[in-house]
Amino acid sequence: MDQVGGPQAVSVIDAHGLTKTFGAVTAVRNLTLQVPSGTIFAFVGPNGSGKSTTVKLLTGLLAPTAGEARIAGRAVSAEDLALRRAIGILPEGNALFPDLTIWEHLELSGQLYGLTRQETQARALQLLRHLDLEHGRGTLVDEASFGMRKKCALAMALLHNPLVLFLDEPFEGIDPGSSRNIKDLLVALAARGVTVFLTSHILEVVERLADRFALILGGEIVACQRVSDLAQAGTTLEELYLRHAGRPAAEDLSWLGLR
Amino acid sequence: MALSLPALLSNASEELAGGQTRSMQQVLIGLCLVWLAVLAEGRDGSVTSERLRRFPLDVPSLIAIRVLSLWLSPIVWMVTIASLLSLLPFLYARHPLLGILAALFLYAVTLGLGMSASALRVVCSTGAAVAVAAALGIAAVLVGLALVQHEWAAYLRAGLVMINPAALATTAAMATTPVDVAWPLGTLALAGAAVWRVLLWAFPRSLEAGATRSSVRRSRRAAWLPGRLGPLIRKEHRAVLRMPELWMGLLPVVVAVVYSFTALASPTLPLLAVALTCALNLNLTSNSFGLDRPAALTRYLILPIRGRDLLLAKNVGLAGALAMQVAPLLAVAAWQGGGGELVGALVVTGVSLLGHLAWGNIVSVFEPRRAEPYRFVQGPDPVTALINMALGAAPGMGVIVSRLSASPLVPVGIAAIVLGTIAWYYGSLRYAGASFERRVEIISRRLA
Repeated sequence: MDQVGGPQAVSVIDAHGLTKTFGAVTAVRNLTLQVPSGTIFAFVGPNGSGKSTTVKLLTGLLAPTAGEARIAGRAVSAEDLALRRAIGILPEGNALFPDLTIWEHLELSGQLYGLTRQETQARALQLLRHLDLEHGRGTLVDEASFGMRKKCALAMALLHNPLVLFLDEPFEGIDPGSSRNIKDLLVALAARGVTVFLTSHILEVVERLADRFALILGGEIVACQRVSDLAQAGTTLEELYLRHAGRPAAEDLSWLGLR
Repeated sequence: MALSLPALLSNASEELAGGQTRSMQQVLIGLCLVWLAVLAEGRDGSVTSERLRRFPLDVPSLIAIRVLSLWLSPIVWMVTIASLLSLLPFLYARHPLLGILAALFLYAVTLGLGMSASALRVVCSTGAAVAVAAALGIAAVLVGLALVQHEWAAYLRAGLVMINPAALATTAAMATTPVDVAWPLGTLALAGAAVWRVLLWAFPRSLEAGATRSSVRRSRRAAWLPGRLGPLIRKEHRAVLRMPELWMGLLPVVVAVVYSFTALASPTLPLLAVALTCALNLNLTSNSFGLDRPAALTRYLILPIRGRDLLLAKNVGLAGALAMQVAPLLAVAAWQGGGGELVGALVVTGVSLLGHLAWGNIVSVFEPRRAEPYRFVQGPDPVTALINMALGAAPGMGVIVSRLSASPLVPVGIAAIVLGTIAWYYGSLRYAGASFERRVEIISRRLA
């Protein structure tokens, strides 16, 4: 059920039986997933369902309790530097240094990925312009807005031209103009063969952007299919989501003046 | 003379009974410095300003909470008990009650001074901080001059002794006239009023300033460093410059430099000062990840960098700052003994730094401690700190001791120490670096 790609597709992301427990809590349970190359794959689910934990397991930021994951045929390991150079990650929380400016983040990132200083500066400038962040390049991350930090982390994920992108909530807090640029960029990257694995709560964006999606609940995948199949089935992603995840019961909030 | 508190108190009691106050003053000054150190290092465990400002209470209530919460810490209880015990010798003074009251007031003023300093650290601008640093520097110079073996230095020492606040408490206890009672108590009262007024001014501002401090900072264009690790080294260097330990480490340097110019000092003095300065920065060399938070550790895992390269970048960033610190001592060594002494000083500096960093890398990975900019790091327990200091200082002290020997094998011995220290450092990078990669989650939890 969970094998998304067809028999001819080459799976760039390959996970088998991934499990992660934190004490008595199982955040991800026996997750099996394959994502072919050149695909925009969306991972959706309620808060606390295991989306971010899955991203961390697939990128080596967390070691699994059981199971294994492979990226482009290489076993995911925190110690594999070649793998780190091949993937770009926009992690949960952005993972930025509070006392560096946005520009300094990109400089640091570029040089560590092996780019020359000139290459780093040229690419960084272009990315900042594309994300409408050039004016904020000298801003300390500690003083930057939520959206600016998100854009900075996204730029760091793209700077070294990765083969696989893992983006945790890439559209959260982003203005509509930049959001459109990011969507167009991701579509162009996928067309070039880059694999994009993203998580998002914004189902409308997922439905328009992604080729395939998986819905995760309580650490387990409950639905996994092509986005185009939704329309053929006469349903939407939101309806499918609510059918599986439900919605919280409405409370009587009359003290707010509601009737 | 025995350094234990009971022995000191016994000496003080005997002296007070005989009309002398020197030992009692030493006890009082010592305990005041302990109070200041406890409050400065953040060991007090009290509720911090960041947490206090969330409470919907008025300022006097918040100050009361802050003060009372000091006694959440067992260390503060220990210092309190020692302070109360230190009042016992006053029973042998001419006016026991006056002495006890004056000493208690002295401790209260010290408490207020420590809390005011904590609040001012948050509130004050860079200019004020520079002014305080300059004042500390002048004080260090005065202490250095007072150590000189010369007639005029004796007058300076006498003057410094007279203005010490502990003398006020003992003068009141041994007073023979009402004036001898009034002026020290009056001086203490004025000092207390001034300190608490500063606290009342600074404390509420520290609650607000803590939330908006980042808006005062501006990004500065930093010098570019070559190499793949250049930007990372620059980041680490900048972080280290915000640690007060680094600036406090300048004080022994200043004292040693002043003393070197004004007395027939031994050529070994600059070398000992280098070794001491490196040792005093223990809380920096053995806590490389203290300023990092889980977000930063996540970023280190994302970036294509090995644990050993990460530690190397942190070490180089810190070493650059420490090298600037000891540079005046190297200049003194060159001035005193020429090129040969300069080479010796460079060797001692090099092996001292490498020794502390080598052991520090291992401690950093296995015993990380959360640090905050502009606040002293809470160090390990005293025994562990002594062990860390001894292990880190061993190569530097080995070179210094070797140089004092007349043996023809001294150069061989020094070369062996240098090579051994380099090998030790290289090994520590590889071992601690690999351990970091395996322990990132544990380190992240400790620093959260």
